[in-house]
Amino acid sequence: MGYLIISGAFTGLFFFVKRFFSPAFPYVEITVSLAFVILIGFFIGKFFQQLGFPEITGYLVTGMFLSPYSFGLLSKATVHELDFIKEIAITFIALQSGMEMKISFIRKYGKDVLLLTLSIALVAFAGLFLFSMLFLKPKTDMYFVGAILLGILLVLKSPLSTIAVIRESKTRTLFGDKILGIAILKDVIVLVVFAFVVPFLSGESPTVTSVVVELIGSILLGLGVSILISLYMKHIKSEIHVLLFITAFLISQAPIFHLDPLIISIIVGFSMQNFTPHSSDFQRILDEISPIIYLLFFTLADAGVDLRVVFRLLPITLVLIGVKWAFTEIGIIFATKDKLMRKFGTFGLLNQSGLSLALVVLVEEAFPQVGVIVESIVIAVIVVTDLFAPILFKKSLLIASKVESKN
Amino acid sequence: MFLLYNLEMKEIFSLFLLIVAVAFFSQKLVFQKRIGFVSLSGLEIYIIGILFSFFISKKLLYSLASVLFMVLAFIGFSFGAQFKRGVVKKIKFKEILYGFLISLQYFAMFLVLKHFYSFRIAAIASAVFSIPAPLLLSNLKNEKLVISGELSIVFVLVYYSCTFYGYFSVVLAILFGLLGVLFVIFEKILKKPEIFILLFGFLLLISGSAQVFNFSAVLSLTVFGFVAAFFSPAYAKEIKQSLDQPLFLSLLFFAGIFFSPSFFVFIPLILVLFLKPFLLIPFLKKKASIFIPFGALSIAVAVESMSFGIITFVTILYFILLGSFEFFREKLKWDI
Repeated sequence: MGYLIISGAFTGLFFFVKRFFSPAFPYVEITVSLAFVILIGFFIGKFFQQLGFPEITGYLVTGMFLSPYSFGLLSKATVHELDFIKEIAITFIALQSGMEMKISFIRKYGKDVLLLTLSIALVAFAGLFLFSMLFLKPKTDMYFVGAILLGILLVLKSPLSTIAVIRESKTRTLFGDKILGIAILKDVIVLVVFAFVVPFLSGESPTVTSVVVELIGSILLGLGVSILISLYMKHIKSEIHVLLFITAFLISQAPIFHLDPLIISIIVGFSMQNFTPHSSDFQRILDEISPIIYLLFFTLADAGVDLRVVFRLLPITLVLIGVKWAFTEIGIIFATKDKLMRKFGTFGLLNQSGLSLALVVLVEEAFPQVGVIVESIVIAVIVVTDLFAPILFKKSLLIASKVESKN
Repeated sequence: MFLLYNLEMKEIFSLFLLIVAVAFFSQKLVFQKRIGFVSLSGLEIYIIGILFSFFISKKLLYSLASVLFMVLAFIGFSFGAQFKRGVVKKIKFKEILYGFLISLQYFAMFLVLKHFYSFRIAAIASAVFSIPAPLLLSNLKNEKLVISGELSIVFVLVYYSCTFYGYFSVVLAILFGLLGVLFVIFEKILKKPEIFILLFGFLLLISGSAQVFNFSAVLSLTVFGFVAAFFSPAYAKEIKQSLDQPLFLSLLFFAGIFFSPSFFVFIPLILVLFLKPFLLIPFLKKKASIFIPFGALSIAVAVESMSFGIITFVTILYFILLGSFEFFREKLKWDI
């Protein structure tokens, strides 16, 4: 309760300080807002943790609470200006995702994970595509395009929140590792599919070469960056935190050169984990940095969401979440006989955010007619799943941990 | 606001990263060398900053204010964190009295300067010249004098805040600084990375609020650092040790990019330095010499004023005074 009172006090202080914001001070509103995002998010996260929920649920609630569309403590301009923090945070979290991909695990369980991913992705896409068609047909002529985009985007699973919940629950289970493997693989598959499908649907000729160049370029750059980091860690050793921040910032700017920051970061993490002797040091530093990254990312992730739109689309959102849930379940049943995965797998695969937040912006730009409604639905699904999916996943991880330790 | 400054936060952040990179990566090189007989640590970083100043517009410099205030906040915190419980316990009436007497030089200088310069410049210059270098002070063998010197800095910061920002701002600065109590409470129940999140949040809040309510970020964070170090010395020491050198270098880098040739206007201010021996020798004797050079905190006070000319003047004078002091100390074998 103490945490809630303190976050309430800081919110009150935020209301008070906001009255004095003056245009005479450049960026001061952003600095002060960022301070309050950190402090309020931190204490609400702690409060949720006390209640037994994941901290990230607290961060997400804080974001919605401070959003320009709810209590309006953060202005739209501030949320926009702080977008770059999300870009850097995504890079960090993708680095973590790459670090989780151990070759030994891929050798042992790679086939299982690949089969599960393909089965879930295809079955869930089919279900989501059909229901989206039914919903969009009376609303727009471009219902087919809209349904394909919704199908692809809603299949995504957020590796970011998966890692955050696994780390927070402090359990290392095969179940959790498989879920994370599926989440990462699904992101990579969707990214590639998306890169091919968008130009095709928007009437452009599919630029296979550019997609391949982007993919190969990103992989090569990722490998190059990991070699440089490794050399730095071998010869210089100090100030690795600073180096990582600079690297993450530079990687987050990769789209300027038509390269994908997520793929670059995953490759950096993957090669640091598997091909260099510095994996444990690198992991330790990432662990030290990650709390502030999670806090900022998840608090700011929902801060720009218009809650009025979410409420308006709540019925269709709930239907689509139900469809995703049911068809993911079917996909799992097709692919595995693992009892734990069949019983709890869906709990770990509902949460969205991360990549879908980034892709939805591209959809809106590429398809102005249908983009807005697709974006609104995806964001509504993200917000709703963000609220309950991390809780379900954390519970399922704890159960899996008990079951696996018994076996 | 954004039309005025026409720069995205991302660009500001990239510049901030550049400054952080320069400060962190150069610290070993900078602090391990000695140029001839004097150790002018950081001179090269200042020169790099000056070189950058030719490529950075004034608009951009004002846009960097929020980042700059954060650096100042850390410097204030670092100074306040010197007052650990052990040090505070040693403070007796005599040390307070000595500290108070030493700090009175501020008013003497202010009274002289305000006849020749504007109220604002007189206040800044008096504060800059009255604050001794904490690092040099710590070289004194007489521990009581070290404490008195440090207390005199606190007094001067308060006087300066009163004259420059007004009485109410001192109250506000202290109130915001007292948020350090919250930091201390949670330090006992939180894990290490969480402590740093909290500290970062507080520093950002206080440095931002200082701009909103117009109070001294340096004074406020000095209070914050003092509270934190008094009640939880371990963390404060760790933070201070890991940040002291990079902070100093980033301050010099900032001072460099604020370079302005108009600093010539302030050269006559040097004359006021001759007042110092008259003011201090009567009760400090030979040790008064150590109170003449000033340190990072004085540069921070100048930078906080955002007056480019005075920042340049103070930084150049800092190097000259430090160099001269070290020269005389070495040649004349001063025993301090």
